[in-house]
Order: sequence, then C-alpha cells, then structure tokens
Amino acid sequence: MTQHDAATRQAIDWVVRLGSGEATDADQHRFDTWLAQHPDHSAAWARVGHALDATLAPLRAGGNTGAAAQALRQALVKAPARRRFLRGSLALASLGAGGALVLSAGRWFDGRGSALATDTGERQRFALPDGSSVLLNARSRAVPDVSPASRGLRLERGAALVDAAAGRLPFLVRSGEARIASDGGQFMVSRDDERSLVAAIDRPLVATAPNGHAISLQAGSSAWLGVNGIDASDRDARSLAAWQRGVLEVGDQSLGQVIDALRPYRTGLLRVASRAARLRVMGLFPLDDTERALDMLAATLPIRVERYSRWLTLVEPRDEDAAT
Amino acid sequence: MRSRLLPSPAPGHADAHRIYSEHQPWLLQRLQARLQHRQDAEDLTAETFVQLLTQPDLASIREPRAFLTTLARRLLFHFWRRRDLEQAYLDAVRQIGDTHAIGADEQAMLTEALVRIDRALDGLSATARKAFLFSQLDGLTYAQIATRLNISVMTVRRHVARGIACCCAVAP
Repeated sequence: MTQHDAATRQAIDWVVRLGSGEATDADQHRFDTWLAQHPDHSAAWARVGHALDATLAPLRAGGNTGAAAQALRQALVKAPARRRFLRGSLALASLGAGGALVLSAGRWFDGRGSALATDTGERQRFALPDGSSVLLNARSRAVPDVSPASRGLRLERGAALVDAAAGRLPFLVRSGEARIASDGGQFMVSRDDERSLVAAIDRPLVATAPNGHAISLQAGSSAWLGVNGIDASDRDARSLAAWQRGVLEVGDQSLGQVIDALRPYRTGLLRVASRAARLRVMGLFPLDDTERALDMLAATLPIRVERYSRWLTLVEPRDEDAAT
Repeated sequence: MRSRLLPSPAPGHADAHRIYSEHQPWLLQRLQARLQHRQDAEDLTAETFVQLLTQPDLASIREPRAFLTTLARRLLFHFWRRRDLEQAYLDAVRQIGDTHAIGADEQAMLTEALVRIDRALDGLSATARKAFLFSQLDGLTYAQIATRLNISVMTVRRHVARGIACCCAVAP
C-alpha cells in the first residue's frame, strides 16, 4: 500500500477515532486543536474526506438508485476472491496448459466442425441444405441446424441476415434464449451479451423472448428480445440490415453504439471516452473503411480521434469541451 | 486534457512497433487459449501493447515475451475480476428483486464504479470490506460492527483504518 505523509496518516487516525462511536468531548477538542495547528492538517483532512466521498459515492443511495447502490455494495463483499494465477515465475508454458480448462467449457471451441464464422471486417454468405442462405456480418458465428425434422441455426455471436426459403417447416433461429420463427422471407438477427435484436424485412415472423413472451412482427419492423421480455424498437428493419451493403445507417443513436457497430470491422482496440460515447449521431457510414467512418464522425461531432497505429484508436471529447 | 495513457509522440514508439509486430500473433494465440471470445483476446492483446507503450526505455527489454506475459497476466486478472464483479452485481440485483430495467450505458457506468471501488479496496478481505462499509455508509459504531461480524473492536478499527488509507491511496 502507498505510504502516506504524516499529516495524511494523522487525518486518517482522526477519521478512525471520531467515527468509532466512542469519541469523547476531549477527543473532539484535541481534534479541533490539531486541525487549527497547521495548514497541512486542514489540507490533509479535506483530502481524506474528499477521497472517501469520491470512492464511496456510488454506494450511497443518493448517488444511484437505492437498489443499485445496495447491489453494488453486495457485489463488493460477495464477489469471490480470485487468486492471482501464475503467481511467481513467468510460467509461459502454463498459459497454454491452464487454457485447457477454459477450452473445455468454451462455446466457441466446441469441436463442431459445422460452425459458420466470419472474421474481423469480413461478410460472408453461406448456403444451407434446405435452399435457405445466411449472410454473416463481420465477427459473427452461427451453427446451422438442418435435418429432416428441423431447419434453422443458432446465432452465437454477431449478426445474421437470413433468407429463409419457403418450406414445410418454419425456419428457426435461436439467439441465446430467444427464438425467431419464419415461414420464409428475409430477416435479420443480431445479438450482444444481454439481448437480441430481430428485424422482419419483407415478411412477418414470430419472435419469442427468453421469458416466453412472443410477438408477431410485421414486415419492416424490429424488436429487442431480452430476459425481461420484448421491447419495441423504432428502427426500420431495412436500415438495421444495411450492413449487408457495407453501410452503417444511423438514425439517432449514441456514438458508443455507432462505435460498437464499427468494432467488428476494425482490428485493434477502439476506445471511446465515456463522455464522448453519449453524443448523439445521425448519418450513413462506410463499414468497410472504418478510417473514413471515424473521420466523418470527427468532422460532425466535438470529438478528436487519436490513432496510435492500426492497433489502437482513442476517441475523446475535443479539448475545448473537455475543460468542464 | 491529453490522452491519459500515452506519451503523445512516444519516443519508444518504434521499439513498441517492432515488439508488436514480432510478438503480437504469439500473444494473441496465448490469450485466445484462455478466453472464450476472440474479441476479448484481441482487446486484451491490444491493451497489453497499450501498457507496453507506457514503459520507459523499451529498447532495453531483453525478453519481450516474458515482459508481455507479465503485462498480459495482470490485464487478464483484471478482466476476470471485472466479470466476477459483474456477475456478483447481477446476482445481487436478482436477489434484491430490482425490476427496473437499466440501459447498457448505465450498466457500464455501474460496472466501472464497481471496478473502481474494488480496486481501491484491493487486499481487503470480505470481512474487512463489510466493517469499513458499515462504518462509512451506515455510521455504525465499532462496537456494533464488532458484534455483527463477530470480531473484536480492535480488528474493526484496523479494518476501517485500512479502508480509509486505501481510498486515500487511489483518489487523485
């Protein structure tokens, strides 16, 4: 732990003593004397108070909603202590050996040879045995499930644009715990860690959220499917699938969301300062040229894009706006 | 406010670039073996090199792979710790029965806050954290805390002092 200077250590002692519940009037008097004794003392006292306030603010009911503050506090004492693995020697070899544990539980390395996947910046169309086809967005992965008894696919990551052939059976897409059933036609499904977005492009379909709530989605409309049910999305279905042409169509979204959509098209780390991430964005951006997309964003928003070579890009509020 | 991480015209940039191009595929592969998602491995690889850039005197690094492993190991630890915290938070929300839907932005901010406090209180046991928070958030006396946690008043006092010192160490 950092070694504090004498005044800070004394201030900490005072916080401890005055907060014990057993401080006497004499303690209070001695504290007043100490505080007045030297400017360093009052400065240290203010610093310690500020440090406590700053650190603990999110846990106070006033800072967040009461329930969130309470949950944060529980997490803080309940999250299991994780041992710092590979303590000691550098143990290069054990990086690989320890990895086997992760692998066996891994979803992406499950040994099914049949998974369809795309890499960074790549879009690819795959034909399915029933005559349907699926176009995967960049950094996406899907496992087809086509047999005499069923047809469909499981979307594991990213986004898929499905052209379902008409058939005897509905084409079923599973995305996490959400399900989408189509009798034929084009639709788009994308997922993140928490929920899935489904867009019915030219034919209606039936979407079922993880909690069992189902909705019949009209052509042209879209909806979010999450553990808490179905949330309407006001985004046009076709614009949500514009990535198929290499275009990102943005109606009114946060810069954070726009950057998230660019990430699968860019190698390296793309980091957005949280204040910049809240800016609202409209426009069309080229996915296949993220450099240009970033330039376009920087030309219309009060942001600064700093590129430290191809593998690190920082998006920050422009200096004049960062003064606050 | 200039970028927080990097010396802008980084003097070691060429060295960093050389180390990167020679060892990035190796590191990515190593991390990929530990992480389920390729994206996570890519991000952590990039983060590792961000950290590398902040090191003085890159040219003198003799064992780049050992060095990168040390950096990556710490980042991986933070990465997993963040996930554990997120999970514990979601468990707590479920247990409390909070039904407010919160947006992704808000969730991200809460996670950031959680990670920040967790780092600040690094090294404090669960009991020490409880004692510290009972004192600072609930205003309980040390005697009350001692009873609740079944520890001595002296120990409560030590935990609280340590907690405050931790907060002072991280606050700007």
